[in-house]
Amino acid sequence: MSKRAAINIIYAGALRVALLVSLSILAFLIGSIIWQGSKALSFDFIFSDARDFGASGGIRYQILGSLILIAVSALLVLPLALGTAIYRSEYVTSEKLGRRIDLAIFSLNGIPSITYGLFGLIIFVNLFGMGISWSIGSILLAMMILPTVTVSSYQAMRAIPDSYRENSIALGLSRAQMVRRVILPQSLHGVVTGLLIGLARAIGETAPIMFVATAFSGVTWPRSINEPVSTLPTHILALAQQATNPDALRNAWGTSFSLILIVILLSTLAYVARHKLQPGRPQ
Amino acid sequence: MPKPDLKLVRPLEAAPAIRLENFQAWFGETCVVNAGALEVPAHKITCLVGPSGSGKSTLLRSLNRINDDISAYAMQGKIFVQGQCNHAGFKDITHLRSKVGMVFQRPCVFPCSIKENVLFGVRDKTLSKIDRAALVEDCLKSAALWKEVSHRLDSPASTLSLGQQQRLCIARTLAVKPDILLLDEPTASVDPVSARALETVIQDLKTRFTIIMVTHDIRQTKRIADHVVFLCDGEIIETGSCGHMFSKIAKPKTRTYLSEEFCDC
Repeated sequence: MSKRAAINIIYAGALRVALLVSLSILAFLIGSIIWQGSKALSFDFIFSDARDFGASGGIRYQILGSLILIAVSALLVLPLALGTAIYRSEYVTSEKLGRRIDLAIFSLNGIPSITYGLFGLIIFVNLFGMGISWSIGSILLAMMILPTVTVSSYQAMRAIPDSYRENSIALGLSRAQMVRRVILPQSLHGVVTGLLIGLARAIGETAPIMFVATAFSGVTWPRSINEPVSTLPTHILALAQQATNPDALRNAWGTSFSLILIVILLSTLAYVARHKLQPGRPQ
Repeated sequence: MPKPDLKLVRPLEAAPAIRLENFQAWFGETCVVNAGALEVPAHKITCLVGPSGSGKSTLLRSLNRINDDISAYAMQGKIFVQGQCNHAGFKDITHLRSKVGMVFQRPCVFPCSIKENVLFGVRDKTLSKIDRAALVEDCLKSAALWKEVSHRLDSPASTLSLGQQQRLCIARTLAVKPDILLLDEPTASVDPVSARALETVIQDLKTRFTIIMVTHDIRQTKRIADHVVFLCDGEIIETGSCGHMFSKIAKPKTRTYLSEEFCDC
């Protein structure tokens, strides 16, 4: 066997091992959550209230709280991310300014999630005196996923061939009309995918919201924007602190399983959206 | 006493559709076109010919200000479109672009139906469904595409051949009702048969539109041009009627290029 053939075999083997290790870690994580979580998961568990600080009962209000947070953060982030992506893609002609915007977006993405939580605590709770509320949590989650949605939307917009832009402008369309009629429909897949991936990340976050948006027990449906909610990740955190109690631990696994199911659902929707909404391209 | 309308002093046929005065185009620090003065006759086919990099496309794209979106691009001098300066005379740039339509080298159809492609640039919301259908038919007939697609107007435009797509691009441009058509090497991406079909369309259109076309194909220029502008290194070397340019060439550079399609400048 030649040296080149041997290197090829070793190289391919190393890649297979890397893939195998990655898949094993994922399988072990998901498998253990499914194995342990399925023991707790039931209709009652999902649709009943938590009792005894979560050690018994279900996770109805935790699911509701998580969904409220990500739904509102989606509403907040979408116009901001779309506006930023459209401006960056279609209006910035200076490369210097473009690079600065990119740097700002990527820097925002690099901020640790706990920093968002501290920022919210200092600015919204302490400085503005807004108290602990789900609305602040939604704002912080929106800020946190803003780079993800912006970058995904921007990349989808830049992937549109320039010939579309030239042809629509040459037909007398204004830039705003070009954005509405060409850019947005052609980049919809990137916007939706980025949003769903961002939400899948946001729903699993604990650090940005635990100081400012959530209560660990005793909360129900929020009746105003100034009330805290309980969420799935913070519920898992509260239950994990009672690890010596087997009932609490079982419910922690069940809650994790529920959270994973929602994340898988959002990720699957993102995957489907990417393929279904992918537009045709000129030949 | 009212001032006479200067536009009426000169007969319409004699008025150039486009006039350049001391025109220069720059990309950053580099002057890519130094055209000086040029008049493009109305209702004729004017071909801009010259070697690659001679500034033909830059000149063409300056006429409807498509280049304005390029940050490094700047121009000096004036371009008059039907007597109006294409900067000061058109406060709304979209109005200029709908008056001076453009078809590019590579056909680019939008990912929608053939009919929707034709109507893509039409902004008149008052048009009825019947008017729109009539406009689609008229434009497709003008682009010699009606017979081929009349039975499948709702089919995706991407199902057409490249030659058909290019004619659809012409039909789409006509739907905006321009007065001047700019064609940037419209036959370069299609096969010879489709190219000849496009040439026939272009010749038929000159009765209704002023056509300015960039081409590398000297034989094509001979076949369809009424007026030829030869550019080299960003400068207009020679202009004249097609017959004049191919029989009584004054400049050696032009002679070399038009006879051998080679330029030593």
